[in-house]
Amino acid sequence: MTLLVNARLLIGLTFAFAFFEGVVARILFERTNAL
Amino acid sequence: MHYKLLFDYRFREGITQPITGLTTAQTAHNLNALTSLRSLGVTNTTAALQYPEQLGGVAWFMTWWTIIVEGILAVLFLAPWHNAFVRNLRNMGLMLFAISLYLIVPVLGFGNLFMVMGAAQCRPDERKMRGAFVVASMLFMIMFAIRF
Repeated sequence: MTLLVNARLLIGLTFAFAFFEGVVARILFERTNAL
Repeated sequence: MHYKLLFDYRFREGITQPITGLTTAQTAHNLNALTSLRSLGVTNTTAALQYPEQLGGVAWFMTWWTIIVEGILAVLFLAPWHNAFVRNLRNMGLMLFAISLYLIVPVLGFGNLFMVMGAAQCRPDERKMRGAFVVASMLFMIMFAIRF
């Protein structure tokens, strides 16, 4: 049961980080291009 | 993404050339332009790249598609709902994401890690789905062996 919960959390957190990284990268890209 | 589509051969051969019709001549020109920027003693700071007009649109779509899909998967896996419908969505979502990405860009470590975690989070009664994750993992290894 412990493994079950942890794997789900790990996948969720991985995608959450990837999502925020993507958004931040996109914002930085827009700002750099606007200069 | 724009840069990746032009200079990462995995994206260039898997997506850019078939979809936007980037030619080998344009690729050769771009590689030369990039090399000329990196050469010692060169004073020019810009290089003109050649690519089909659709490339910008493809790069835009792929960027946002990835961000949106990652966001949806994050919500699905972190949400505190565990009914059969949500579990199916999770499994299918992860599977679709992994297959659509890792068959084009075989990053073996990441692909297999996701498949192992996918299999680990399956309930004991989700045997078919667990098997599917294992099969997908093998598929990635075969693709990796073929392409590299």
